[in-house]
Amino acid sequence: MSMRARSISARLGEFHLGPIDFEAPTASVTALIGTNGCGKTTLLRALCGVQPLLQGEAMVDEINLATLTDSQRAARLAFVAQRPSVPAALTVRETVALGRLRLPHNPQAIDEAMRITGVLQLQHQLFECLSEGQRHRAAVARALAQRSAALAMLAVDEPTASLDPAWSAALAKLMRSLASQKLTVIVATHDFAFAAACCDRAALMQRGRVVASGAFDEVMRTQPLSELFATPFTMVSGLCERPIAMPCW
Amino acid sequence: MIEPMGSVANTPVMSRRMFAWITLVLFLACCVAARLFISRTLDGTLCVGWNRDAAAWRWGAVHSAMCAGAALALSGLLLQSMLRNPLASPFVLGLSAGSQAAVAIAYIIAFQAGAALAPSAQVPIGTLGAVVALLLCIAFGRSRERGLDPIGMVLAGVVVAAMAGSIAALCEWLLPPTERMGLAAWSLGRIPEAPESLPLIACLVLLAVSLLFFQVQARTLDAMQLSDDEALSVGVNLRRMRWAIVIASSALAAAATALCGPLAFVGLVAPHAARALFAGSHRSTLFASAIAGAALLVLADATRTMIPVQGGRLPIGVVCALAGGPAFLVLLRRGAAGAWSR
Repeated sequence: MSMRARSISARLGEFHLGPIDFEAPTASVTALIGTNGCGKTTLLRALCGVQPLLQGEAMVDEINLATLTDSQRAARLAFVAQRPSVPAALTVRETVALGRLRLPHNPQAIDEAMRITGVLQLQHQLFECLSEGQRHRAAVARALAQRSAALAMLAVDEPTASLDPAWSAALAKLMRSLASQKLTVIVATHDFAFAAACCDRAALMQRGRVVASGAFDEVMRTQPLSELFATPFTMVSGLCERPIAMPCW
Repeated sequence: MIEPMGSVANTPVMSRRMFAWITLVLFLACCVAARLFISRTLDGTLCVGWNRDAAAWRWGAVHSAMCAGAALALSGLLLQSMLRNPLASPFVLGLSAGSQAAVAIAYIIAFQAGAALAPSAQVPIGTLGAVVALLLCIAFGRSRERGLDPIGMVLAGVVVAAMAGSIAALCEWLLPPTERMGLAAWSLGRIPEAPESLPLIACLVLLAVSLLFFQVQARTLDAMQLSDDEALSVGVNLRRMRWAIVIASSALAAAATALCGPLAFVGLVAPHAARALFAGSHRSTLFASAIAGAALLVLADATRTMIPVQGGRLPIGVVCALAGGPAFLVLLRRGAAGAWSR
């Protein structure tokens, strides 16, 4: 269940994305890394079929996203925004259940999604009463509730921006776990430790283009990262299982 | 795999919901009873009791108020859901004024042609005016950075409503003095005790069709509370749903306006009352908003009976504006306090 994009380009206001060729294989977790405003979110949106393309095609399991109906797209792709919206007066459970809007009703899938993300005990609370971090976990639960046999890809935008270290580590494990279940996971992040903990591939982005992509350890080296961010990077050991490039302050 | 945290908190959701329905229906019954049993004699004395001679008129007023109130409330709820804006209502966004202006223009054209505007034509013409007003609000109330901004929408609505109101006033002014009274009285709002059957039936049919359609789509309306990207990713056809809401909310507002004139307050407050009782899922709030809107407009009609004024009863539009102004300010205050951070 792979995700592939061929020469895609898109426009968002004055910002122009692409053309981009991109591939994320089945059972992998890919990090999109880049400066602010380089187009990570726009690329994620394009890969999820919610950003209209000017040209090119994005394909999931060799099926062009443009040919999918709304229901078919929802069955194959799940998306978690950087700042989850706050539905007016919906409970956490009602919000998570929206993940199965176009899928057969399955309370067990909803319970499981909430259990995994630790929001099961908050299920009767209003979503708007949650903290930022809890909202993000509930949004991840909504995306997990979309799981079905057909689900091919999970795209998550800045997943750790409002999570504490314990939940960031837990989320990294969850991403790996989902990938091991033949899911393609793509995360846009600035959190290098999180990326190193869960990603096996990376793509570096600059001014709307992918400038490097491939195996995580090959891409996330100090030199390309220093050039990309115009900041010196150094390899640090001990933060996670492998040495990672981190910016020097 | 991540371990679960703590145990599930069970809350008696069903019993709370049942209590809310009973409360709402009892409130409607009390409002209807107040309108049926409380009256004022010609010398200004307040009477409480059943009057067989006046019963048919009072029932007529109750029917008109219930239909218009429910239609305005449903229109308001749909607008608030589509725009994710707690301040949205057919009055605030200029739908009522747009409908009023379109009908006033049609009235003038019919008068110039030497004919009278048929009551059956008011609803479709008013719908057209309301759709134009809503599309203008959306066009001018959205920004590239923030999308449909709640305050931007309201500001656009204020301007659209002012312009549409001016057009309606100009149409009134263009009429000979002898012809102005009907249009002027309608502009202030009215609760007809012997309503024209066509606007009443149009209002009822639109209400029934909209309630049924959107009840079936209740979970999709819930999903529209998510951001556009999230809603699309769970399978919502945003374009189709938005057009359905634009047309339904405009038609409902136009039908209510044709029946009772442009009325503030109900379309704004009733959805909030329904959400306060039933939380946010549209599975409950659609019908609850309609009932709350019906009850509130009947209550407003009953209230004006109790206010002693020279020369009869206060226009219903004045009562609604007096109640709606503070309600709007309270909601605006809540927004300023961050209660609708999105």
